[in-house]
Amino acid sequence: MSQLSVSDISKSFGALKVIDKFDLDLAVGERHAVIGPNGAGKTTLFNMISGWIPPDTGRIEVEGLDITGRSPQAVTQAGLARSFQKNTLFDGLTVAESLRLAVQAHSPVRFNFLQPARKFGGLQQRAHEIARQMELETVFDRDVNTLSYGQKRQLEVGIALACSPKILLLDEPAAGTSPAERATLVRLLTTLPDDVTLLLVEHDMDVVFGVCERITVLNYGRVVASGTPDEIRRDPEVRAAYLGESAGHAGEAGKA
Amino acid sequence: MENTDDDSWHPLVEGDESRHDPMDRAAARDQRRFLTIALIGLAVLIALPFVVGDYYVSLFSEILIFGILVSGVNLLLGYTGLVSLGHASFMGLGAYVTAIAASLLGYPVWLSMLASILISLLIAYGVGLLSVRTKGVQFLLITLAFGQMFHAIAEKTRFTGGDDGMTNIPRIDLGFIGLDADQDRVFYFFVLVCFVVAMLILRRVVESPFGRVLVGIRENEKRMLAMGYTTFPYKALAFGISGMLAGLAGSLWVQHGFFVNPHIMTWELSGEALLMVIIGGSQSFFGPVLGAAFYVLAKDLLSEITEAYLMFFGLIFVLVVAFFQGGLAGFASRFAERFLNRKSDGGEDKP
Amino acid sequence: MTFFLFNLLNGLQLSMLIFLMAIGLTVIFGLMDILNLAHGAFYMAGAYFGYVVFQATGSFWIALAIAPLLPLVLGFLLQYFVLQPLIDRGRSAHLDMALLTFGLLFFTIGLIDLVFFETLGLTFMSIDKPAGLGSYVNIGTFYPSYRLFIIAVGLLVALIVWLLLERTVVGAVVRAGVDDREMVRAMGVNVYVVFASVFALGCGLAGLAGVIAGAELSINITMGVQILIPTLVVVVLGGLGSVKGCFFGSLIVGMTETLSQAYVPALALFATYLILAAMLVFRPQGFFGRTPKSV
Repeated sequence: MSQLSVSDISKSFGALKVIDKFDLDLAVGERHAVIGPNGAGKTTLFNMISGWIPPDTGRIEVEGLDITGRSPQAVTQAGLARSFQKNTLFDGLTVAESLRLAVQAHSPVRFNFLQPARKFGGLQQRAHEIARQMELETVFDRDVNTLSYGQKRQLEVGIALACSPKILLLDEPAAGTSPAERATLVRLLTTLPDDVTLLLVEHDMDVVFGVCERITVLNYGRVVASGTPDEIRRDPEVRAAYLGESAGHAGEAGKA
Repeated sequence: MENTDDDSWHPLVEGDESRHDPMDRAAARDQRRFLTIALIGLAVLIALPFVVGDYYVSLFSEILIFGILVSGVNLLLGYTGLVSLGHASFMGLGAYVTAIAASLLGYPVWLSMLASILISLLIAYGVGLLSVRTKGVQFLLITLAFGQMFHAIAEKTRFTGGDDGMTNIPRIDLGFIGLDADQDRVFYFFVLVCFVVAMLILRRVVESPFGRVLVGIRENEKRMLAMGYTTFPYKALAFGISGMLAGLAGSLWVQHGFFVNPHIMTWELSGEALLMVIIGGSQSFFGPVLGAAFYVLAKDLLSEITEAYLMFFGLIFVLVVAFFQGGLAGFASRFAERFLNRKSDGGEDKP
Repeated sequence: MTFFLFNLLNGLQLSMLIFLMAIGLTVIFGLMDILNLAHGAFYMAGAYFGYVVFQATGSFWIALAIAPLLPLVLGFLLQYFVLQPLIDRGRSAHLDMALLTFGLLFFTIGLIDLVFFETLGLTFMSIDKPAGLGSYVNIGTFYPSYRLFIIAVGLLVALIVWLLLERTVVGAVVRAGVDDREMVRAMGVNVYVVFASVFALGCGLAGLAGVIAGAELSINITMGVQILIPTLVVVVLGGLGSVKGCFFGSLIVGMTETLSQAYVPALALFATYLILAAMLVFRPQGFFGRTPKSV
């Protein structure tokens, strides 16, 4: 059984078809990237899978459990955690507090309102583990708003990882980073636990080719190619989509 | 809801306090700080009635009662980031329940107080369920609307005297330990006990996992949802607890003054509660109590000079919101830090 | 039937008074994200200054022309020199702005109390209605002509505001700003002046409402809060930032308050709040409000 199965989902905003009959199957531990030019529908796709936007048609399953149209929190509880393209962090909290909250979300004590949280050392330990994994150990007790941009991107991924997800959805983790920061991110992403399935939306090809074993190319809401990094590199249609939109593609989008 | 006292069965939650590694220094420091302030404050509050005159004893009862109210308001404002303009109505609710039960129905006052606490918790939770669906300005307005509705009910209800309210409400009977609560000093100590219990419960709440979730909601609710929190029940319960404390304050208030009328439920009082929280410092646990003390004492002082004391509070309020978000507590903590010459690590103990 | 007509006109009159308040509040909120709780203070400023001008000149019309200028100028100064700089310093959280202006409301009430009551010993004042509007006209029932005047002013202002917003360049900028604040910034207009001007106009209209109310109701220390609450209800009902919603919201609130008082007095105190609560539960963004852009 596949870990994440997306079948035949579509989404239109008014007359504009943003995602058209999209299919995706991820095996356990797979590293998969969705790429495509701006406006290809990647973010909408992500928002549908993670529960922020309901799809018009189709079905999304996590380990056979139907999560189509469920709320973001229900989707995350089902084992699918996401990060955001634009930093969505807790500026007034420390790194430790942020990660702890994420760990706590998946612990039975989350609604406990009569015992001090510091009694539950497990939360703290797990948060610290994640910080180590994301190379945020040295800034563990620092306020989030004092971190560098690259560290914030690492925390963005770390918070999603702290939810102990089966599937991790990363929305352009390298957006806006410097080459050095990007290298760190690639290193961190390649050392993610093997049983975590990874779905990545990314613009930066170094990150995509450095981390992922399969790639799906999206343009105008449709899959134009899917395969290994080598296949994708050679695909003429992909080159067209990236080098400049050919008339054929524009026409397709118009019909859709 | 999955709160459980048995926390040993899950691998994530086992473990004793000694095991939380190099990490939870912040929480430990915060706890030390809390205990220090609490013990000093308690010593002062116990010593007070032996030092000051009758008039001030009564004034300090008032401060403690408002302290309970505004600490509850701050659970929403400072911790969760929700501004309620309707909390006076829960205070009024608590006051009326005690008045009706003790004075009209003849139940003992302690039982009436319990009823006040319970009913205000339930009704506030209900109102919370309806209003926390909105946020920001809409939340402020819907709490205002509910508050005005309760106020209108109180004005219209005949058997509680309508606009005139009720008088001759009894105070709690402390005869079983040989004390008479009708003496203001004795009543002060009774209020102090209630205050301490309320603050301990509130402290428990804010440092619990639940309390941390509230802070997360204040900082970034979207991310909380993405993490898998259904934030709605957390906010509703916070509203309920906050209303419960207001109800307790109301129950004490009606005993303090021996009477109640609908004026206690006006939104001006809700506004004044916000004033106390902000002036005292919404970013700290005891800040609001400090604000209540400042408010009651300054009002008392100013009222000898002018009735237009609102002008001064309005001005102070504006200045605090604009320039000193830490409020009095922020000042005090910065001062203490400098005084003790500690390594600077941020001043206020943030909730 | 005549009783009904009488009440209907009363409702319309109250609606228009509330509309004069609410229109400024809602446009300011839509454009600048400031819930100006001090709006009640500007209403009071208009009424009290109107009283002063009236005492000095003996003319209602002069008071009507001059008094709204005080809240207009004060509003401009407040926005341009206090609120905007604070927003720029990172206090954009609109709850901070609500709290701050709330403090200003308290301050103004206290200040007016100090000057007019404690110093001058005045409590309930009023401005005399102008000659010609002090009596009744027969329109099937005898109806106070001054109230008809209030209705006319309200409708006139609604028309002018509508024309201003829909038919002028400044209006286009403001409308664009309500929809998308960033866009106005990008257009290279001096947004701060536009913001402050809109803020000032809103306050001026609140002041105008104050003067008008000063000749029909009494001028007293609670008047600001009394009108502010139904105004806030209107703004929420109509949807924050919606001009059309504001007009219909005013009608709903004014009519509900008046008609419930006339026909079901037992409900009069809650009717409006019931509508508001129901509405916030079922349609939190208001009747004409924009739905939140994203999650």
